Amino acid sequence: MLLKLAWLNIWRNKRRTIITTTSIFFTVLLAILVRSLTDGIYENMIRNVVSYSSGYVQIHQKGYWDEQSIDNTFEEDEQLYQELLKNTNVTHLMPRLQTFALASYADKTKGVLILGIDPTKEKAVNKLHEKITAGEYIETIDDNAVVLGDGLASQLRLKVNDTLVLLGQGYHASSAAGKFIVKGLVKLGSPELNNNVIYMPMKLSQFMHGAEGRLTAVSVMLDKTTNLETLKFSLEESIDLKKYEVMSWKEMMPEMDQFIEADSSGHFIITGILYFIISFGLFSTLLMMMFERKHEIGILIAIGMKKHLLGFVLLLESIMISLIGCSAGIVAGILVVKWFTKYPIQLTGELKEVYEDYGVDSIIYFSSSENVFITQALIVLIVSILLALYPGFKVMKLKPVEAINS
Amino acid sequence: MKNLQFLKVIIGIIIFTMPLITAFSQENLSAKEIVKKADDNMRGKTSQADITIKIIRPTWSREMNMKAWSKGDDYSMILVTSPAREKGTVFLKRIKEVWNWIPSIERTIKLPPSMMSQSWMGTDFTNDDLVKAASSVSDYDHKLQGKETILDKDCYKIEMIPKPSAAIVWEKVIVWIDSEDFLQLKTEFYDEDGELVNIMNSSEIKEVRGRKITSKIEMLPVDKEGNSTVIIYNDIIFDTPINYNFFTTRNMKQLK
Repeated sequence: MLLKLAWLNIWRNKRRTIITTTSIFFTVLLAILVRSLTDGIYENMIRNVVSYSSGYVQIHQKGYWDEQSIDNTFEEDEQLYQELLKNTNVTHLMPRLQTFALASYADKTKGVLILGIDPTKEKAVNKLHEKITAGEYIETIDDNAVVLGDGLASQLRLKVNDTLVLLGQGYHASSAAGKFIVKGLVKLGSPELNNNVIYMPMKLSQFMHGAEGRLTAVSVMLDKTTNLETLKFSLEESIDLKKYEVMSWKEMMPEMDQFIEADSSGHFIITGILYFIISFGLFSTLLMMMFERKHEIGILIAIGMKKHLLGFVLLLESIMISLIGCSAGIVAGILVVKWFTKYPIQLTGELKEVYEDYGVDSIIYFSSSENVFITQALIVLIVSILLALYPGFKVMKLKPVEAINS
Repeated sequence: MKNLQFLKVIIGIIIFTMPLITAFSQENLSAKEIVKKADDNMRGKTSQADITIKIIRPTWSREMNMKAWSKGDDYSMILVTSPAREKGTVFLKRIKEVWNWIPSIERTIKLPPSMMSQSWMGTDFTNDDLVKAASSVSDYDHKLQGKETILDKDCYKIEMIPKPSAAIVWEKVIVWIDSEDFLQLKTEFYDEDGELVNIMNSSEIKEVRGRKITSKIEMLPVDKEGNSTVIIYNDIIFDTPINYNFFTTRNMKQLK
């Protein structure tokens, strides 16, 4: 009965209802897009950085992180792989042997990061072979050549097919020195990597360091970023923690996590302002409605309508309007986000350079995580309901005689 | 009567030689002379040695064999003969310079002074210890601090403070030198905060080709328990002439 009354009331003044609904609709849509966009950018950034560097989660020999020496490596273990892959969220595993060395070509010498990799596993995750700018990609773990970041190559003034000299520290104090043919150059987004990295096939790197069959880390790639903590926890359950340590990228790259946190608090302020503006718009329509219907409400009370019932009807009206606006907003939001996930925005020009400086693909993805839709719609709904309490409150205080005469 | 005369002669001789003996004996030697004697003992004019080095760590250990040549304070050369990975690696010290030949990359690298205090081939010795770029005689001021017994031997305890001009990382070094054979049996290295950093023990005194040497030298870093490096002299020949042009970067590459 009350519901029907409220429903009919809404459509008595169509124009007012439509204006209110549209304002809610656009708020929800905008809020969803902003949130989805920023989340998408972060996810993309994390995925990018993480796939070249640490992986979402890394397994090390216990104690490696505190003392990153080649002596803290562990024996490559097929059983460990099996154990990790049992987890359905784990999509890829990348074995790594990461060391530091001096690289020298002609009269140039530079400190470098040597990443011993499995080239096939690596390219499945980060498409390293597509980043080749000159020469060729290393094909197998037995390949006898290396691939350099092109920033490093230009600092050493070296080209494809030149021979690079590496000198470092080997396993158990053995020497690690060798000459390597440069097979290709890669252009990586992160300047830090691009200017320092040497990709070396795993077998070759293990031989150079006298660390046959040993790894510094297994990087774990996941299908989604959101379940990081639970996944880390479940991985810790499944492997021997006396021997290994499990670390998430947030622990290994706290600076990136902090950057995202700082940046996203900025976005929170913007969405906060958005909500603020919207609530004022909503409030003004409610005020107008009260003003218009004062006479009518006064009569209703005078002929015996209970004040709190009347207040409730007004509340229902606002909730209905908000619900319509919100659901329309969500539907539109989903459509827009779906469109952009299918056809992501490719950045060009200066913006593209800025993104590449951050080491991120210059593509804007939207996050299609359902979280975004639900929270944004809920926030708008709650705000509008809170505001709708005002007319109810006004009704309770209304003096029928004054209202009728107004 | 004759006996008495003989006794007199003996006593006379004893009395006469007494001051001579004391003069030669330790009491009158200055701290610097003691250190110089000990230094000469292990160095000789030239030396040619066959050495085994053991690196001992809590979880692993490693052994290397090398040959070493030296001439005076200023020239020395070390060739690694095993393990196979490092075979052919050569270190050359020429006056104050240190060169390193690495056959696998066919490069000769000059170690910068900044690397002199870093670990040499993963051992507990520094590059500086290896080449003895600093002379224990001329780069330090010496002070005799009395006598102590080490390995059942009477030793001088001598404190050595680096001269301000010398490039030495230690604040002070204390050595114990055997008063009989003048062998350095123990050394303690203190850093600039006066903290004990390294202890070097020498033992297993052996006579090799007519000369007494300590054939085992053990380096123990104080703050790293379970870590040590042991040098064993398998053979050493002193004073066979070695030409100066043996100690060249060119010769490093052909050393066998």
